[in-house]
Amino acid sequence: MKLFTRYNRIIMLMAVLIFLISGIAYYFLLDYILLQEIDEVLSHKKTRMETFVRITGSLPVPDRLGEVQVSYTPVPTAIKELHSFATLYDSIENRAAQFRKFVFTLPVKNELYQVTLTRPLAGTHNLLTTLIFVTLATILTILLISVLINRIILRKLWEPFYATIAAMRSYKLGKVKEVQLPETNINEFQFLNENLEDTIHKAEEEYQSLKEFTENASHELQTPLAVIRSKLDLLIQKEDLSEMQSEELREIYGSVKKMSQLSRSLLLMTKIGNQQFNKVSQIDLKEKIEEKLKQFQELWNNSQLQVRCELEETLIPANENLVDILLNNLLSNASRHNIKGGSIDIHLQERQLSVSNTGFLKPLDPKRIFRRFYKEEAHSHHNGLGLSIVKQICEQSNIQIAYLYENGRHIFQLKWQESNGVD
Amino acid sequence: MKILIIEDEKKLADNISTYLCSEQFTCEVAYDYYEAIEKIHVYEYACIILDITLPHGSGLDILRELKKAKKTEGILIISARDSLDDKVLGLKIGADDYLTKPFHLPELLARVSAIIRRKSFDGTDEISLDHLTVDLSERSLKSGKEIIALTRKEYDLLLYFLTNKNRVVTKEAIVEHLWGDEIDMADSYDFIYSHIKNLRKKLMNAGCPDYIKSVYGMGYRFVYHG
Repeated sequence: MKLFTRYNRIIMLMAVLIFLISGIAYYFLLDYILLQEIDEVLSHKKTRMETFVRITGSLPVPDRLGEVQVSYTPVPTAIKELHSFATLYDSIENRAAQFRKFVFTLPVKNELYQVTLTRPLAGTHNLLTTLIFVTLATILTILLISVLINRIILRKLWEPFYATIAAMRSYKLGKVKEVQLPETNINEFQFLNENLEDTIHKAEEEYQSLKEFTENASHELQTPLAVIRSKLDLLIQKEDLSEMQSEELREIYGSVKKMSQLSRSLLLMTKIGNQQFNKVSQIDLKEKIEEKLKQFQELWNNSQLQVRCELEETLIPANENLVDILLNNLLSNASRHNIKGGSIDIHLQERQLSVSNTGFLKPLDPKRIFRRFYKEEAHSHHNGLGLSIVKQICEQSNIQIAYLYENGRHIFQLKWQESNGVD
Repeated sequence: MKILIIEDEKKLADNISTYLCSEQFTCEVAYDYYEAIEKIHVYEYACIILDITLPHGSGLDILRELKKAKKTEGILIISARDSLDDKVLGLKIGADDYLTKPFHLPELLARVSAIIRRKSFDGTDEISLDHLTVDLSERSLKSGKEIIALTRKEYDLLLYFLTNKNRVVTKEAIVEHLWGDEIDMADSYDFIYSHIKNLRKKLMNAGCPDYIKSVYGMGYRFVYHG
């Protein structure tokens, strides 16, 4: 629920409640005041009658046409003054109607008369209804207008907030493009933007220093590795090495190689992340793959892998070096994790490439397969960066990659757009 | 022939120097920018091995200095910075080749020899191997006038062995030389065995002794004193 919908709802509910209560109170108040007014008129009439009796010594003749009807009844004892309601027959309107009745005792010479004054309430009722109706209508109009205005104004007021959110949504850590948060003169939004900018800035700095660290660490590793390797190259020239020493040297060679590959892979990932491979061209993928097939053929023959290819002409808009690395990693991966006498299928179609291979007889975890240092087996000889490099290249080049396991084959499927707007 | 090694990591420079030094080459070493600048202006070299990151200056500046002085030495850049831009820039300024650390010393020697062969104008585009000759311009092996058919890999392998003759080269270094180091092929390098076997057979059929000695499964030594 949007904030201003919620706000509106609360305000509406409160307003309706307040208006209902005040409407009822208003009704009773008006009713009471009007009644008081009538009672006062009747009391006033009584005073005038008393004065008339005092001066003339007789009861005034009732005015048949007046609004206040008067009737006299002789009574033996004085009765208490009383205001009350009565439903009487209205001779003018020809029907029963509500009247206000005032009864009091008036002494004329030595006799007592009970005087009854009645006044119809129809007029007051009409007035009351009209008043209430007008008031309610006004209140309702005000309510409606305020809701509408709120809606428009709030939408307008929240505009910078939504603009900020939209800007944040398109933001990605490590992208060269800077986030442009909208200008606003509302304190709260300024505060939000300032804080966001601050956070982004800090995150970028952290990310940058982390990347620099990886890059520098990888660089710095290369020189000592070069020293070790060159020392080894010299050491094996010695004539008097025993077989055991040679075996040990070979293991050291292997470890040095692994380590240098590891640091180069990390370096490569940092570079891809830094968008250092941003030169994009239309690459003839069929030609590229055929080139790779030649390079890999030897290895496949040796491990008795059967390779089936169906290659159609298609172009891919990407960086040439990255495509090269991508194919190397995909094909190496398909060869390495294969079984003796297994097979590799390569299908290249219009804007789609799939590489599948035989291997483990269970699917890999598709969630973890592209993670750095993911290994199916702990004792694996490989650094577990190959597929995460593949993934990173795909992300960089707007290629969608999916892993499937079907009929005992591990399938990597790549799809891309003809012109995928790589920046 | 003299080779200058410009490398600030002393141990690496000394290892390179030890490996390259032979009856064919003598090596000199410069450990920083000024030493290097001084040496390149005073002496003539067949080839200069140049590190990019140096104390007091950049290897690329030395390269520019060399070009400004119109020196004709072959230049091989060795760098820890496995960066394409550096490579492109280095080659554009006038380096002959580029090798990323860490490298195998046999590979370095192969690259240096290739540069020197390309640079030399004395017409020695042949290497003799007993009664056979390797024709470098034609990339072929001949016995007299007769060509001994070698595949491309076998020819490259032979040339690699000849440059690193009498030294042990590992299978790993051979694979990297023949297939490049970008393809991480397999855990074992046994697949080069068939190439070695074929080359050995062809050489022996041509009446040569068995030059290629296997060294404890680690690698091979091409034994030839000629």
